[in-house]
Amino acid sequence: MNRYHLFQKSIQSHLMLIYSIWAVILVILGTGALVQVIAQIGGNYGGFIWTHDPTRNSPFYVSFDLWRSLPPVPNELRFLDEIVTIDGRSPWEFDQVYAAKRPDDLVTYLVRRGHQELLIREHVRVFTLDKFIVSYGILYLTGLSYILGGWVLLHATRRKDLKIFSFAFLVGGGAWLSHSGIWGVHTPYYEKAVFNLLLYTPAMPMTGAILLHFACHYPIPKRRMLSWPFVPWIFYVLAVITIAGYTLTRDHTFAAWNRFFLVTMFVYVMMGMVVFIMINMGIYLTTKSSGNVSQQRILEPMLVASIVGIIIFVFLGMLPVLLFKYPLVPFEIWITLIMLFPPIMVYALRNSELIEQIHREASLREQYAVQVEELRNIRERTLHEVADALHDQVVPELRGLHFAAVALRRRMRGEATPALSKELAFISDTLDTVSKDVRAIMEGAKPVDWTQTSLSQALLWLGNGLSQRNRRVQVRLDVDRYDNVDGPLVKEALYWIARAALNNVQDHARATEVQLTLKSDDDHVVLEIVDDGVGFDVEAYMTSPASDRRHLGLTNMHLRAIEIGGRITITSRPGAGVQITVVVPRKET
Amino acid sequence: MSPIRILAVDDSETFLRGMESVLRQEVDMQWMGKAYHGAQAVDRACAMQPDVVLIDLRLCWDERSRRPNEADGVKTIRTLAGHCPNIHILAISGLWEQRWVVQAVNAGAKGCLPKESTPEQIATAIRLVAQGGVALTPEQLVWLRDSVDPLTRREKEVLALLAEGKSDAEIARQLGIATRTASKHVENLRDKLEARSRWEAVIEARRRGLIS
Repeated sequence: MNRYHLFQKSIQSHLMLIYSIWAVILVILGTGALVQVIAQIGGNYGGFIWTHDPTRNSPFYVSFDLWRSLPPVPNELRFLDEIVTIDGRSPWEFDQVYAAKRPDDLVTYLVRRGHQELLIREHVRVFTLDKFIVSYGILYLTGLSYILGGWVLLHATRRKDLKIFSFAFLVGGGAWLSHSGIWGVHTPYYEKAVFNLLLYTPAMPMTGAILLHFACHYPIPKRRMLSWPFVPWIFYVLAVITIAGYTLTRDHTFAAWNRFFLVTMFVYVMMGMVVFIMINMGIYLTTKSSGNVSQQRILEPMLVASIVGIIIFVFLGMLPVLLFKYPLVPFEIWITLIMLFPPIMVYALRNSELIEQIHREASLREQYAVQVEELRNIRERTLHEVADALHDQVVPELRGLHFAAVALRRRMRGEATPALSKELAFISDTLDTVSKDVRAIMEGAKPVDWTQTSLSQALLWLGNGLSQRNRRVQVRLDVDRYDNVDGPLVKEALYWIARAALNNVQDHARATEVQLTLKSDDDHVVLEIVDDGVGFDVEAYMTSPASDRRHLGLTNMHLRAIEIGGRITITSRPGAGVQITVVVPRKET
Repeated sequence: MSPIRILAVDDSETFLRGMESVLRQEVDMQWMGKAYHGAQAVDRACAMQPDVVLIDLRLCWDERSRRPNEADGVKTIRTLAGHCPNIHILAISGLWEQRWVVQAVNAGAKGCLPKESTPEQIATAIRLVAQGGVALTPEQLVWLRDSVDPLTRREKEVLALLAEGKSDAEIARQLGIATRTASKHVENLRDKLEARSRWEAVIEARRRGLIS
């Protein structure tokens, strides 16, 4: 990895950090909106009383201020007139929804409902298009920034939990836009400005639903909770119904439905956030217990940001709403920023160094793996060549000489002196032994074609080879002939482990008996090599410096076992023999 | 009784000479000659008509071959058995693998001897094949049987239960395995026995003598 890539990665990691802070802020902002929506559903939901004054050349309506306690956005809807009381009672005491397009209609409506007195106060604030754009622009920008953040996160990482995080962003962005869209319908300009209808009304809830669809269909294995395929369709249908219904009838029931599905979407987003935090917490605790410092430090800022965000949400977002029915939204943002920036900056700096270090290590590991693979290939090739050379050139010569010596011995029988007979016997026997030894070496060196050879077969060779080479060791084989072990890699690894273990028995153990067992069932393959030799202190061996160790090939055995997803246990005490057990889980057939 | 006439084929002159010295001492055998590669072996054997040909499995087919290999040995055995069906062939090799035993026997070899066999063992094997017998170790016999019977132990157990008319679920319960695994075994059985249904598999297995 060159310096440019490193820089790019570092930038990416910092972007992720910045976005994680942003995420918290946006979640708080979103929470403000969520709280508002919840407050409306559970609280004093009254609805608009719409009207229109034909004497003025501008659109306006009369309303009691439903969202007087819910800043900041609804308060930006400035009304020309406001109903102060109806029959001497505050409009807040009414829980019906009234809607009318002209004052006459409204009065008729209220009279029909049996009301006598209507006190109307003139408002001075005029809601104009530029104010509308400014106030709603904030909403749309928030939604868009969610989406942007989601995309950046999605492409900056391969980690699944971060991807979920980014989906939460995408969905949240959609929800925000949807939210803004349905509010856009409320504006006094909806009849005048065609683009309002085109852009804000149908486009935004649909955008939300489409984004949600994307988020839900993005493959996140084993994270089904967030990827139920039917969820987006529900939102599509709801979006279409509420938009169509509201546009055609101006019935606030549709707006209420829209709010309901917004709440659902927000809950969905929150679920994503909670999953993200829980996963990270889990990873953090695991890495903490395993002592993986670098990963731990990378996770820390994310966790700090998430936890501080939650605390702020609870104490500055929820509590004021519960106590005073007034969320401190702008205040929360500043508090969050002030609290988060110093630790985040420190972590960002540490993070960049760590990322550099991790990438350096990763590239070294990669190089190492390539070299190991290359060496392994060379070793296999060399062994093959040695085995071939022994087979074709050495063994036939030795056997031929042995036969010639046997023939000579037979011919001299009765003629030779006892001393000569003894010499001839010595020559022919030695040639026999040497050729058998060479054959045994060749057998061990020859790479096995694992697609053609069963493991049990290879183990039988190994066992027989050892008992032929070393008459003092009795080899007991308990090998399942129909071992049914598939996969050349598994066979090869188990074969080499058994080979290394038997070599140790021959060279170091001074054993009289060795038991080689291969058992397999539907779930596991178990290889066991037990000898009654001198044994060794496993713990002392493993902790001793590499240069002091006798070459027992234990590291290789471990590596071979890990390579095939298996587990190796080596049990031994001085004087008590060695027991080596390898358990390999069988892959689902 | 006429002596057993022998031709030996190997690319090692030393081995052939050693073999010659030993076999010439056997009174019931007659050394006919030797060959160094496959094509030469076929020519000489057809011309001399020996009773037994001793062939090294790792052989060159002719002088143009770069290095000795088992495939050329099998080819020699097959060609020789095709040209002169009366000749008994005894293969000899340093390292017998299952596939080469199976291939050599299928090609027409009557025996597969390890190279470290003693002169007595070789002479015994020659007499055995000359009389129309075979010279195979018990291990080689198992290999040959396995190559004919492709079923694993588990598949055989499943087959036995299948023949009793058991369903996949019942088989699974009896063998203590998952139903899906049992179904997979049955599927493998059908594939291996080239049967279209489980019943056809049972009938086919009976026909091949895999179950009584």
